[in-house]
Amino acid sequence: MSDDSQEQYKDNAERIRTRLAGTAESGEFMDAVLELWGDPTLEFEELGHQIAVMHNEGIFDIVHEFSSLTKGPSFFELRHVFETALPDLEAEIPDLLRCVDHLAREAGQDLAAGSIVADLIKFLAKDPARPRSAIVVIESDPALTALLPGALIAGSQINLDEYTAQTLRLVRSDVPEIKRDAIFALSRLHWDDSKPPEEVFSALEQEQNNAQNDQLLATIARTATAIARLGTDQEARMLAVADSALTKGGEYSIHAAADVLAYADTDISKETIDLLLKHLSRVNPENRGTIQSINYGLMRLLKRGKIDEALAFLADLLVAKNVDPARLDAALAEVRKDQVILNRVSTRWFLAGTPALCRAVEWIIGRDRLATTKIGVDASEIDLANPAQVQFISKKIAAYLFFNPVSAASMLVSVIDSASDPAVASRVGQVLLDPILLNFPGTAQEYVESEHQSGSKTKKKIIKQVLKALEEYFDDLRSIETIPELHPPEAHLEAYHRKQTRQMADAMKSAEEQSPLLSLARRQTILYGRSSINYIHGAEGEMHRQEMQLRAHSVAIEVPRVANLDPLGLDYQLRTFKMEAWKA
Amino acid sequence: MKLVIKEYLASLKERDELDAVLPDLLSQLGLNVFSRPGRGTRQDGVDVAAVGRLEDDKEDTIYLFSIKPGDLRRSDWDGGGAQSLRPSLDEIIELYIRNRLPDEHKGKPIKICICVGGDIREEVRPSIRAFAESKATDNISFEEWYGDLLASRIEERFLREELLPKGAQSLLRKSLALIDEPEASYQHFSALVRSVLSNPRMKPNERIRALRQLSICLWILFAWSREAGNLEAPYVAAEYLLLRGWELIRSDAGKNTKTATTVAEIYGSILISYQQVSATYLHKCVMPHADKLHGLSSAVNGSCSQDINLKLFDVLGRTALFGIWCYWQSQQYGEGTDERDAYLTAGHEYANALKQMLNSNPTLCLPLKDDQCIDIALSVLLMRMQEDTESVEHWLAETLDRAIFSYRSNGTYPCVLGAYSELIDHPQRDEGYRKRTTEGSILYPFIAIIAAQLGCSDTFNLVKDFKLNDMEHSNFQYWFPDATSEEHLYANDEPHGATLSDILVTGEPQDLLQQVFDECDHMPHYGELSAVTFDLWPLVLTACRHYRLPVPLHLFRTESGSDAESSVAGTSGESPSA
Repeated sequence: MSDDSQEQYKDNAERIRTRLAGTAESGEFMDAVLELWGDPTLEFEELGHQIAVMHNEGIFDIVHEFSSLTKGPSFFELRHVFETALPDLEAEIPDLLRCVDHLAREAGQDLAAGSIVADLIKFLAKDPARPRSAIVVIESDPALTALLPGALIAGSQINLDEYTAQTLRLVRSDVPEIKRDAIFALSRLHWDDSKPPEEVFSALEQEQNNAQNDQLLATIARTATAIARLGTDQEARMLAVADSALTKGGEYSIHAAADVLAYADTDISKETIDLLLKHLSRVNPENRGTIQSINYGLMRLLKRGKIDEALAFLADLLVAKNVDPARLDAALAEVRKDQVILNRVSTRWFLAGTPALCRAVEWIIGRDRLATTKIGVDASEIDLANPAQVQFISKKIAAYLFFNPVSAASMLVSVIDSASDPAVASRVGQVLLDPILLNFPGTAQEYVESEHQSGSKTKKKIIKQVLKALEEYFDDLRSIETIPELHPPEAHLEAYHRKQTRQMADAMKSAEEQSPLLSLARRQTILYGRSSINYIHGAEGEMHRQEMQLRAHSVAIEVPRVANLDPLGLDYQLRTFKMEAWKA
Repeated sequence: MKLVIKEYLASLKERDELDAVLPDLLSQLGLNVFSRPGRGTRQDGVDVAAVGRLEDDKEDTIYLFSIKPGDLRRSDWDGGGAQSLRPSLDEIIELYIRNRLPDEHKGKPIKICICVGGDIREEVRPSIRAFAESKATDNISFEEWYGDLLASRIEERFLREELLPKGAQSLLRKSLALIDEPEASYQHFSALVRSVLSNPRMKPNERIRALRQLSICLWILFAWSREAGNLEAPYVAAEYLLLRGWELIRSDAGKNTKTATTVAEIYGSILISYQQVSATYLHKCVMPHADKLHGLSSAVNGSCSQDINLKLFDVLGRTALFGIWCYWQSQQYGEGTDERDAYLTAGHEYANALKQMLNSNPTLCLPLKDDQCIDIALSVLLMRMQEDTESVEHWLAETLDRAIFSYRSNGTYPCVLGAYSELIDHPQRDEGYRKRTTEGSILYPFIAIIAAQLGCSDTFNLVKDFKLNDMEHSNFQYWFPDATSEEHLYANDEPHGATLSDILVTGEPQDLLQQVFDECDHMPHYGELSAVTFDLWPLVLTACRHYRLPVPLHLFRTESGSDAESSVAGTSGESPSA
């Protein structure tokens, strides 16, 4: 540390000490901590360390102060300060454990709820007496068993053999919670380069044989799959334990399998994946958390190139379990990222014709209404010489990708390009014309025109015919001069305008109410001008002038033309295309 | 006001138009018109002949008019064409005066009038002057009746305060000023009609004068609207005047009095005006675009699909109605005459345009409002007059399919809502809404009746299933004219007629036909309507279209149950149901 840095460090330490001094007595401790936490000139580590030092000096008792902290607006900021200080504290183990347990529970279902345990492990691992003492305290107070794995893990970092034995002892405990948490800890002990002894494997087998409780079986499955990945020669043995546990287990076990899949390392074996997917096929789609874990698990599988397994399982979830595509957003977003997978999925699922799969493709593409994702047909998935298949898929493409006309047009053009029979390609051209191009003469037509010069001879010919038919259609319409007699009455226009204005105002209000941004920011309305001038207070109380240019924001969407001209006809056409079934 | 009239006169573009309006103008100026123009031909150069005394006349004088619309140019004077003026004037002198002038008028001074709607161009004046000087005799003189002079005379005589009150003149001006807002324009015009006809006990001369004034006002509105490029207001105004005019004169109809004859002539000119407005409207707005896919639908330029649907069914009804008028008109001429053939051809053209509209504008396969059944019924009538039952079958089957599909999928199914503000929110999803908005229907029973007549069992059974499965709550019904209809049909000033509830679509087709046509026997008042007894039955359809009343089922009744054409086409001189 340079002299300047040291000087700065001292200054900061002094500021922290000065600010916190006496606050415990006056009841302002938390307010002062929060103020310091918000000070941009202070590092979190500095603040945490200095609080630990002051605690160790007896200036205040941080454990006591935080034991009564309840979840409020600044709960996580304050808890973060405690976590930073925790490894450096000198404190009574029982009090500290209760405080940590309190802060973990108070966080509720938040993803960061368990993060405090990592700092507890650091604290316990600093002194060999601490894990021993902690285990004694936990054994005597069942309410603290959630911290048992932390204590065992910390101990194993000091003496692996001793704490392996301790863990195996606790695995045999009669207290279900202790047994479960000890089993959970088994795979997380500080194995490092060591391999678990035979006692660990046999203990898991024995516990699996005896277990009936779903939560315990779930823990056994988690631990067995984790140990299987430790690089021992016992992988098959541990997978067998996991298989049996998952077979016997219920929804907790399935959820455990989903978690394993979601948080698996990159080296997860094919056998493990197959095992997990086999059991996950029993998932209850009502269990949102489990589906969410599967969602992330499948996303990871796709990222790792386990495409066939992931796609087959996705299709099963969508069809057999009727899971909404929105709940599989991460996995389906991964499909969209890769053009090859996207083409394969679109072709395969449209050709299957199952509404759930077609809707999933619609969701993948249509999630962003303005998206112009291009899709090609995957020739390995379809018999392009089969007219029935080609026509069938072209109708599905038109119907399900209707609101993403560029995507629909690109896939239809790809079908035309690949179709071997010109007559069949011509019929696909008809679908491209009606409903796609007749409804979306903007972006879709531009795309088709850009494809005019490339590809097969058939493609060029069909596109030329389609564009000609489209041109004739619009020429006919353009030939009609304004006919005021046919225009709606003024009163109708005004009534419709009033309705639209009302709907827009309602939508705006609803959007504002749901906007996280507007709930954070102060709202000001600018009545005149094209820029906004404000003065901002600086850290030293000085004022900074800020001028912000106002910009217009607009979004344009292309509304299908026929929706106004013949709404029911269009609806009927799309529904017919969607409902049409095909038998090979 | 003079400018209004002059503009109107100058805008009469066709010879027929000035022909049609001039007799009324002359009558209003105090002359007695004894020769009116025949369609398309002149009588030895004379378009209109009248006798009487104007300001400068010391005795009764014969006025012989040769009419030229718009301005008179050199080419119109002696261009060698069939309509050139100079040869016409020669014919008047050499043929008409010698051969056709009625005996009682021989010996009276004769004024040959060159009548132009616009101005006589300076380039042609010397020729006219030279011609007049060379042909004038002690008894024959020449006069120029050009637009400005006509306008002055109309203003002096026709629009005098005591004849057309200031209030009515103001309404006419407002109607003309708002041509671009046709609803407002029509509101003022209909108010003008009501104000002129406000006295229920008019004397014969007052009736004649009122009718003539309204006829000319309609012509003025039509001419101005045509110039402005928007014929919506005169179209509805013409329908309204045709109906109100009949209400005024129906007590004179059939009488053999001078008043009755004069009234019939003026009403005839209103009917011609109506037909001309309708034909112009349809040839401008519909006929050129009927076969273009989505052509008319796009031309509506509406804010939403409801705008397009409402307007297209409106236009469909207008096309069908005018096609029916053409068929009726053909019946007024003898078998094999050119006129009969011309009107039959016109009727076919409108029927074909109507079918093209149906094919090119799919919104016409699903009415938004149940009362659009009126436009459907008119169209069915026209197609059946054309003996095209196949098109009727297909259209009604498609309409029914779509109506049922949209009802079941909560789309824009036909409803009984009337207000536009409600229609643009249709359909809604709240409980009971669907039942509330379909609690009555004339559409479905009408489709079932036609299907039963045509032997379309699929369509009939579909209505039956729909009624049993989805429309138990709906009162399938139809309207029949009753004894009070004659009094109120033409003015729509009171509710009239009776509705047959619970029409039986759930039995056999014959049961349904028996039910509704037996009811026609119980309600014979359709045949007693004055428009029907005096062979003007399309007027009833005009009232149905204009006032949104169901088309009487009597018109669909046939002896065989499969051919309506004979019952409608054979109405010349008697009630179709007679």
